[in-house]
Amino acid sequence: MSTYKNIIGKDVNFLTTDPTTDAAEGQIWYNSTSSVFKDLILNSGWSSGAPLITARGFVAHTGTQTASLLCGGLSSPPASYKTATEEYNGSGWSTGGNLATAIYALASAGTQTAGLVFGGANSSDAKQSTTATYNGTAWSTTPNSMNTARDQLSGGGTQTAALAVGGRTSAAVVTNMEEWNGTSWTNLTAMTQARGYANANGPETAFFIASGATGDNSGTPYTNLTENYDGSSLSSGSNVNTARAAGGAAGDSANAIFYGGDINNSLQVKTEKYDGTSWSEVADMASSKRGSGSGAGTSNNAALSAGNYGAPSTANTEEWNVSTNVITGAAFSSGGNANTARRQLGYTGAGTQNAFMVYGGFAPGGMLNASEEYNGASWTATPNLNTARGQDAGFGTTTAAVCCGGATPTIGKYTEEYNGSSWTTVNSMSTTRYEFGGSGILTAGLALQGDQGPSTPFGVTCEEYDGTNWSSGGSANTARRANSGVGTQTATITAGGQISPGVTANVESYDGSSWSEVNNLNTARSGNAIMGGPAGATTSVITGGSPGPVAITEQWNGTNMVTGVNMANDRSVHGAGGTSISGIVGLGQTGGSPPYGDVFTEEYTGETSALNIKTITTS
Amino acid sequence: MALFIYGTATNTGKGFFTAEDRRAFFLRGYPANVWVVGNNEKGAMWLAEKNGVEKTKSEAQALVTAEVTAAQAAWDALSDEEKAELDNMRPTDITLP
Repeated sequence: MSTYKNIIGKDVNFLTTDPTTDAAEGQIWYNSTSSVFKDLILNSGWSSGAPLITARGFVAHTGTQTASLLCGGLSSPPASYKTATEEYNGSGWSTGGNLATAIYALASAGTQTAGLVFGGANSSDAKQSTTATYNGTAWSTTPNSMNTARDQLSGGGTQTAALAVGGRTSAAVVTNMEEWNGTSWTNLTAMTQARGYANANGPETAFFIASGATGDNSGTPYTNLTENYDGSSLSSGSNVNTARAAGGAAGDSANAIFYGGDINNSLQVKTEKYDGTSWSEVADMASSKRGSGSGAGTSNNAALSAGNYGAPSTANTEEWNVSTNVITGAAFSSGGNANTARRQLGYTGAGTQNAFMVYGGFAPGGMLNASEEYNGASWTATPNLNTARGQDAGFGTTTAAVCCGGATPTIGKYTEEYNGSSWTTVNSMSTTRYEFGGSGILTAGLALQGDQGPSTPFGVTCEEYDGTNWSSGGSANTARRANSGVGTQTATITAGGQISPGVTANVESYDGSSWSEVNNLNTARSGNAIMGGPAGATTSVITGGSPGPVAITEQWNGTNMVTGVNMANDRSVHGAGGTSISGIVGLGQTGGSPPYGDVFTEEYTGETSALNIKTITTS
Repeated sequence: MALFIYGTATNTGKGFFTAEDRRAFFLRGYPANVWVVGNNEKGAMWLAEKNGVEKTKSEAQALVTAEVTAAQAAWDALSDEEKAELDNMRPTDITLP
């Protein structure tokens, strides 16, 4: 009988703790602490990503899994043609520059900062030959167009060396192939099989064209043929297992993957992977997708699928990974129901998921003095505020909290401190304010802008609290109210809010003395609440808000706002605490709830990555 | 196959839906305890395990509309001052996906 040493060339290691890097891939070791054999396994599959800002399908999609570019497309019902561009950074989506014209069923090549789109159809279904380049910020139409106008085509390559393959003219599905050299298009030798909505990708010198529709309108028959292009000639590849159209594709002719698509209007979740010899079925996507675009992923080990054309169109994003790490996507789960429904409340933003407190707010019958605390499982009533109020703000923790401002209904400067057992009225703010944000802790807190009375309904001024006295802080650039805040007294952001008129997507950052403009929210809204705690200025999650309310979230990474996973319920003028890894949101107004809000809460678990270590058993 | 299952279930708080549930199927809550659930095996099992009652889309929409209409009526009964205090956020009509 052979031994592990005979096969591998070394003995099984005895380790007291498991390895922490993927260098152990394929190895077996004995964990002497838990007395079991273990190994590190390569894992492959789809995991959920943050949804697109705009739900749609038949998009152009190019780049990599951690830096992709998606634009154009169509949603229904009712039919809505898109100009919007979105960029993915591996965590979420942010807005890019718009296309000049709404186009769907177009093709793409290149990267997030050097992209190329071509062809497609407009809202009148007129086939396009237009070509445009993207510089990371804006699209520019090139002087030269494709030789043959068409939609449902496929593309790949770079901004200066791209291929346009197949597609549908106003007359028929075609075999045409064209080559882009950065300036103009040249016709190449035609494919053997005319097809549209092929699943295709790769650089110009290693391009694959898998399956696709040979009939009009993505209809039957579907071909299972694969053709490969090496930069000079076409060759036949292996047949796919399940012929279909309008899927997504990534990789190249030697390491390809394609996924989703459409068979007779039945949307698909199937994924097929090519290993250089043949196609084989691998793990399905979680959600069926049609028209999610090809090209986001340069290998068959890391791909990205986003959007879906259906009824309704969806914004789902999924990531394909082959890795020794198991990626677990962020998600909300239901938290304990609070005792008292309320909205426009104060809360301890520096609290944790297991130690979070809310106080004041509006409820049926008027302003509340009630406060309550969440321990990660259930809510318990805590001592009342001395002064009932709504539209107050708060900061701090469950053992050292501050409640300030608000309406009784008289707009006030009232400040109270909580020490873990009782509320004490302390020195008032300098300025009356309500509908404002708070951040920081009891000994270093901030009151952020808000409505400061009839003469200043949208404030810019802020106040700093040191645990005893209030003093003036720096003034923000954008006057607003119903804004939120997160962070510390010397590193805070405020996001969104009401302005005159409407709501804003503006985000500003405070360094303890002055405010700076930073990148905006993707969706303008007021009444949002932010999970992030003391680190919130560099990593946080902005939740919900109005108009709506909405269930959307955005992740802030210190530089950009990108889309996050949705809450289960629409929610606005609510509370939030904890961090971008372990947070809680709750109360406030949910969709259609009575005017004074509800008692529901949701807990947030951020995305995690862990080595895929398995215990070896004999069974 | 329809994309969604429609049903009613009471949100009992912690554990009613988990992060694993959210990763496994689409789930959105609406007024009147209406839930729109992704139409896969795990979604269907979740609704059943929560003692949910499956509805047709039109039945679910009717429940939501009735709740929103009641919330709008409650809103409309507020004084202008009360509405202003609540930021004039009148509950809006909801159309289920």
